[in-house]
Amino acid sequence: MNLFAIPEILLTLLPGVGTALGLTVAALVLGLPLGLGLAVLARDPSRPLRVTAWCIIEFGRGIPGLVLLYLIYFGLPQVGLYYTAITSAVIGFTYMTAAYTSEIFAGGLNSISGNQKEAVASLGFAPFAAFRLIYLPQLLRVARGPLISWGILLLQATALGYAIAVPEIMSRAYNYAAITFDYSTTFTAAGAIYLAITQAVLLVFRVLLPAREPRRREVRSRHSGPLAAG
Amino acid sequence: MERDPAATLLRIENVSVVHDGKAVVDRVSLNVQRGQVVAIIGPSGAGKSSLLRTVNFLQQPAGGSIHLAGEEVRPQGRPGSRKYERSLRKHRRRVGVVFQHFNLFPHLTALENVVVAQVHVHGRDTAEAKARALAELERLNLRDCAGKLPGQCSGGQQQRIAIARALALDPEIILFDEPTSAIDPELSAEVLDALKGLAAQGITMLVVTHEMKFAQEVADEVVFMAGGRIVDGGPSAEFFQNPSTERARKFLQAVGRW
Repeated sequence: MNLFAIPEILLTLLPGVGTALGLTVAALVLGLPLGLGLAVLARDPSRPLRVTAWCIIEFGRGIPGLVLLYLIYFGLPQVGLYYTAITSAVIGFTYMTAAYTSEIFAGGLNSISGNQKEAVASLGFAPFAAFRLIYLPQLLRVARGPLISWGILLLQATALGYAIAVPEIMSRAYNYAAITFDYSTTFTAAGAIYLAITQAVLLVFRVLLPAREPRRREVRSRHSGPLAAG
Repeated sequence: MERDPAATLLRIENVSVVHDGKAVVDRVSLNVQRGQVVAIIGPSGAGKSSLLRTVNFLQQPAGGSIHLAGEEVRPQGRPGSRKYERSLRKHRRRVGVVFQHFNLFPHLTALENVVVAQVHVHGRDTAEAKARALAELERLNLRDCAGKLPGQCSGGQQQRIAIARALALDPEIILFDEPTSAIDPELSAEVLDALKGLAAQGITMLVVTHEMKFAQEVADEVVFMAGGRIVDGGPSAEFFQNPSTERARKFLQAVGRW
């Protein structure tokens, strides 16, 4: 460990923070709606739609992020599609986000009780209004924790960007260490930066997706009293 | 019993419900006149709730027909499909439902629960809907609940919120599916009082209930179901005085009403 190198290392790595955060935000902004859409499609009455959604989801979850990035950055040019490193990374991370969060959204959708669907049907709601006003807020309440976890994982996954030369934290650290051979200090500093922005991101999420109190007491209303009968 | 047939609001004709190949409701016919309160009573598993739920097709009838205000309700498409649900929306907007487990929206306050369908289904403007919701909550003695989430209210309050939600939409008839069965007995009185109030205001109601006292005092007509069929029934006073069938007599004896 070379403590005197730390200021220089930080100066080298910090510009990567913006890139990492930018990638994360872009992938979430684009990927979350797609994930929600995939979750809805995956339970559509139409079988072809369901199968298509399933294939998209499983492909996205089954292929390692690194392979996905290589495929987009190095593979697609062979079929005539050229993207910059940054664009490739955004495409890759967006897809990963859509595939992974679709499962989170699906879990949220599954958690909505038949009681709610009956109420919605009996009141005569149109599907979109029901989804927006009744299902989505309840689904987000369930999905909030796992979505935040995904946001953190995604932030750290942006380190994979170094493999396709995206100038984020990890690739800057790698390049710096390769020149100075001071791996321990460099990667410790990189780790510390990730830790710091993880905490900052958590804070942002807590503001964006506040938990609404009280959350658990509704259970009581589903409980049948002693007189309940078929 | 002898009423103007033109006043028949709901006509259930030869309706059957089949679960796992077994008819839980077996070719049942039943009329509800405008302004009338009809109670469906009977032992558990008699098919009371299944019958009630066919009225707005939360339960798809296997046979028979449902007529509201003289018109047959004909859903289009396969049950459960989008087309089917769409074809029923208009009908369902005319029929209120109060469920055993309230089925309130847990993320919305009592007031919002009563407002949301007024605005987003019936197209009323928000201020009008809010005023109406407050009036309904007031009428059901729920002024203190307006700003609370359902989870913060008692069972009796939650059920009354559900009643307010139904009332605010001006349904032609309200279906009650065992409205007091999931509520602590000491709180069910407030719900029954609410129902009594609605009956006095001439709101048409079809009520599945285990509350014999309610059926006896509030209902105009009683329908006694057993084994998926209507076995007995008639004007409430007569029925409780002198049930004509052995099966109904046994039931009333068992529940201490005869």
